[in-house]
Amino acid sequence: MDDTASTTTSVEDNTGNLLDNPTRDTLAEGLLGLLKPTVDQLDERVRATRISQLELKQQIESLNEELQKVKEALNNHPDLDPYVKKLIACKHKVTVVLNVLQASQNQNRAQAGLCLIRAASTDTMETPYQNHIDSKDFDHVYEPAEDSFLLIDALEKDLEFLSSKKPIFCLEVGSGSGVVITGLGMAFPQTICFSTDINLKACVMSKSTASHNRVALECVNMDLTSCFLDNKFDIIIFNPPYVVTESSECGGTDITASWAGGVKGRQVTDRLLNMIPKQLAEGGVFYLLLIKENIPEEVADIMMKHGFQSETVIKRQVRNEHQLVMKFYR
Amino acid sequence: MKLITHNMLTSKCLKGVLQGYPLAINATDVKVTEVDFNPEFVSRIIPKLDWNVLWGAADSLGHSEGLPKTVEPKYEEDQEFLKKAHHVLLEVEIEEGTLTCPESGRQFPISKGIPNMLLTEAEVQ
Repeated sequence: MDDTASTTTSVEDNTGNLLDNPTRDTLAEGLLGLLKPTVDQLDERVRATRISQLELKQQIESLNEELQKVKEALNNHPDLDPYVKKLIACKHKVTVVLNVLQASQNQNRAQAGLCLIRAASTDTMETPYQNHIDSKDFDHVYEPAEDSFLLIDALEKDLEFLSSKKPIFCLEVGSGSGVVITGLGMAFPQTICFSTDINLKACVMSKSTASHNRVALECVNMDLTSCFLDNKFDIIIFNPPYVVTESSECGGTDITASWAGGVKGRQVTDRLLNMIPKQLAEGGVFYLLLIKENIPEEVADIMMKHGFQSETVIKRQVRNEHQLVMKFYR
Repeated sequence: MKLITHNMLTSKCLKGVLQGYPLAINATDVKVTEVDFNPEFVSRIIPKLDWNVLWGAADSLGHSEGLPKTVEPKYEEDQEFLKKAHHVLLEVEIEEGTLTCPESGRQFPISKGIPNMLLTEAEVQ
């Protein structure tokens, strides 16, 4: 009995010590250092597998369509039926695997978020913790997807360049769930981060994503940057509504505002391009996500007329979408 | 909304408004949260501010005590001053209230710390 009691006490003592123990941080950092490459590698592989699974799914779908056509052409040739069925079953399996992979990738990201250290080291960026968000909220706010993560990856790739700018004020226009600006705030604790969104629900979500990751974010419900004074921001980032749509679909304040881009998918982007020269502080830099259909060369031309140089930071193909992140600086 | 944000907001996008700055503050709920003090960082923010506007905003919330009306040269060496500036810039937050355009009187509500600066199409320049 005595033994048990003393063991319990000593465990409690240890736990107590551990809480204040500076070695805990070192230990955590060590563990993280050990785990992070594996989690990252896992994440990267899961991502690659997901992409190839998606491609496979598409190919199966098109094969399926072709087979259907052949089948019709052959006047319901009985031999093809079982193959079509097999293919459909196969497609379902791929979908299931895809979902499983997606879930595990989300979990990986969440784990990475949980292990977040406000990294003073400047070569990686943590993906913010997002498990606080109720999935129903994504009926009203754009859910972080490949484009959001491409923007984070672009900023991560440019961390050294960004820290050389010693940014004070950072702004994300149309921040949606807030993962990108929160990630930036985590990488640069010594900045003040701002975000705008035309959708109030997105502002509320951005603020809560930031606070769950201990980033102080100033959210304003506004159209682009229309109510900010000039020459304030050192970094501006924008993942615009880039989908090519009818012009009339553009201009909402609900979730359609997160994707409907109107003509060339550029109606909203072009409005911001004209504000950027005034909004950026001296030496400021602007990061913009685009897809091929937005005609990035035209965007570079517009910005050149405003006196900006441009550079493509990162490119990725997601399903049939060619996404890229460009940066503009004077 | 922190006062640093107020320092950067204008209603000049309203039709017929020239400056729209500074917006008048009417706060019904103000919260103060402690934020780690970093004198070097605060020193870097000061030159980016309109100090008069910050002072006025702090005063309208009853937080101007001890805050000088002008920024002295060599302010970056004055710890007391930097602490005061840090407090009004980063620790005082307006949760509920309104911002008012100084020229048109148009009001912008602040709810749950988020100012609503949306305008109708008819209001835009």
